[in-house]
Amino acid sequence: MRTKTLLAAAAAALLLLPLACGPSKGLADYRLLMERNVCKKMRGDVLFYAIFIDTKNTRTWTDEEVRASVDSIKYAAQWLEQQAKTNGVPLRVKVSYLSSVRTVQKDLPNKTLMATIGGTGNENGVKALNKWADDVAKTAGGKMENKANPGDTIPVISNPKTCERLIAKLRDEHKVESVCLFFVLNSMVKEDGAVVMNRGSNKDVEYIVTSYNTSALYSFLALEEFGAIDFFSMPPETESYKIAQQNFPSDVMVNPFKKLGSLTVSPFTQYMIGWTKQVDKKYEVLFYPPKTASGGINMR
Amino acid sequence: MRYLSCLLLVLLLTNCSLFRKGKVDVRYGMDNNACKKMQGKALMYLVFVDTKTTKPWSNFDLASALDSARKAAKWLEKQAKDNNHILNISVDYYGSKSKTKTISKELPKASIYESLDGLTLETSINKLNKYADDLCKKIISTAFPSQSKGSKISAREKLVNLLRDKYNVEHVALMFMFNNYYMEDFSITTNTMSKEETEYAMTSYKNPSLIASQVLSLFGAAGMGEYYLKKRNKNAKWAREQFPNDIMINAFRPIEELEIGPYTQYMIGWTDVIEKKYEKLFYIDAEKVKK
Repeated sequence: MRTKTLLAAAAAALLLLPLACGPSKGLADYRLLMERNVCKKMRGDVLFYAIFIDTKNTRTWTDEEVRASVDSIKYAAQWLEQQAKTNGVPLRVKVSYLSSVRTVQKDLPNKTLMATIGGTGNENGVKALNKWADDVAKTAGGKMENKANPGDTIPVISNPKTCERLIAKLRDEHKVESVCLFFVLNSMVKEDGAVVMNRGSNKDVEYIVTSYNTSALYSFLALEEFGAIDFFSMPPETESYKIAQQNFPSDVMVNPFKKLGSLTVSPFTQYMIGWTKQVDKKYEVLFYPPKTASGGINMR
Repeated sequence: MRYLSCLLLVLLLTNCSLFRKGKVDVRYGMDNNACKKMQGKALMYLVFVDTKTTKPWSNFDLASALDSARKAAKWLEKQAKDNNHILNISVDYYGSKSKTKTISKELPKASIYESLDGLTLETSINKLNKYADDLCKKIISTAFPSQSKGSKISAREKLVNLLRDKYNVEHVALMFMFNNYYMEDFSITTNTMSKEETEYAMTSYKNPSLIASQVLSLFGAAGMGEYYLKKRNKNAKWAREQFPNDIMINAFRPIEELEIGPYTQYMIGWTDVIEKKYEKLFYIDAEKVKK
């Protein structure tokens, strides 16, 4: 149950985005998050790129832990490729990480991810985390090579100084349209949370900050960047949560804390990430975020 | 992408004589301006523009945008062949033979969308025309330096003339490309019905369907109303039922699934007659367009 609460931060981030939402200032329709920002449809060539972060409040990464996390990301990538193949969708997920240094050291603005970003309406938290991510990108960018690819005609993006430029460089270097940028915290002992930032934004680039290091969670977060709905963080009393649990209990977006091998990408999630063009009419109710007193996604 | 639902906007204004009794007749765009009937030799000339508010063009984005443009051109050629027309489209871009591949020039406002948000649509289009002229002046001064001085015609018209001569083509689709790899903005074609101002496109995305539909728009194809009128518009709904796979209605679907329907074929000069029932699509409510 505790992890559930922590993951809800992902939903919180959604509400804070400068998105043209309904009059309630909450997200009016999850479909508005489809095909937006860097990660649009999950097909073709995709890059998962990880940067491992050390902070004063998280455990210092060891080489072994970094390797284990990279393996988890690779497994998540393979699993997504397999799911895509099963459903007749071409998908190739490359995995890479900042390897010139083991970690980037940068304390979170407010000690922990949850303390920085937690709670709805925390616009300052979003701004602070975006600045933190830019600072990490700048440090990481300073450690990256600036070599040109054969045939390049425009100067390469050298030593990016913001998250956006880092993603632009990764797209250019790896020749991919979509980049999932993971900032990975080491919370092997003390779990903190995970957020997908800016996925509805027309101004800031999207990225992920996570303290969870399981393959299922990497898949879950990547799918969310591509438009999938996080059912797991919804209040259990809501209709959407109940429908999702009853109809798609093995969907990774419904139960991301199960073993990845036992999970799937349900037809509904497939629609949200652009694998299918239609969804069963009876599930259309799931497009609308559960109502709360404040009119947005309910928080536990 | 679905967020700005009217991403593909065909700007009709600039010639008030087009408006009669509040309606504009889209046939004014047929066989007109730099792209007339879609037959024979044509050039898609892309200009990659960097601004402070869009993202700088990278090698990957430029290469993939060119791929998309070539794919769009091939698709248009195949559609023409399938309908017994000869069409050869060359694709080239500013800087293809030089080191500098892009031109820097700030939009009148932060985005195309915001640039159109002026006092009136006419004044906004005038600003965009001046912006396009400034870009064309830069292109002429570097790509055609001997031709850069002394001319009474607009820089756009001059550039189109120079390109027609250089590439030996009848039609030139002038397209200003902007890199919005994660942001959203309008894509527009403008002056398509004008007898005075040279037409051009401003393109915010690099998907082949959008690029092909913009080229078609320069050749006179009309958006059938749904882009600039509300979705509940009866004609737009009817057009969608009549031409479910027409590219002018579906600029964001994969191009392989799309076709050029009978109405669009008529507008671009591939057929001389059109069924009477489609004639109602010729007229668009000018007041709604202006708003």
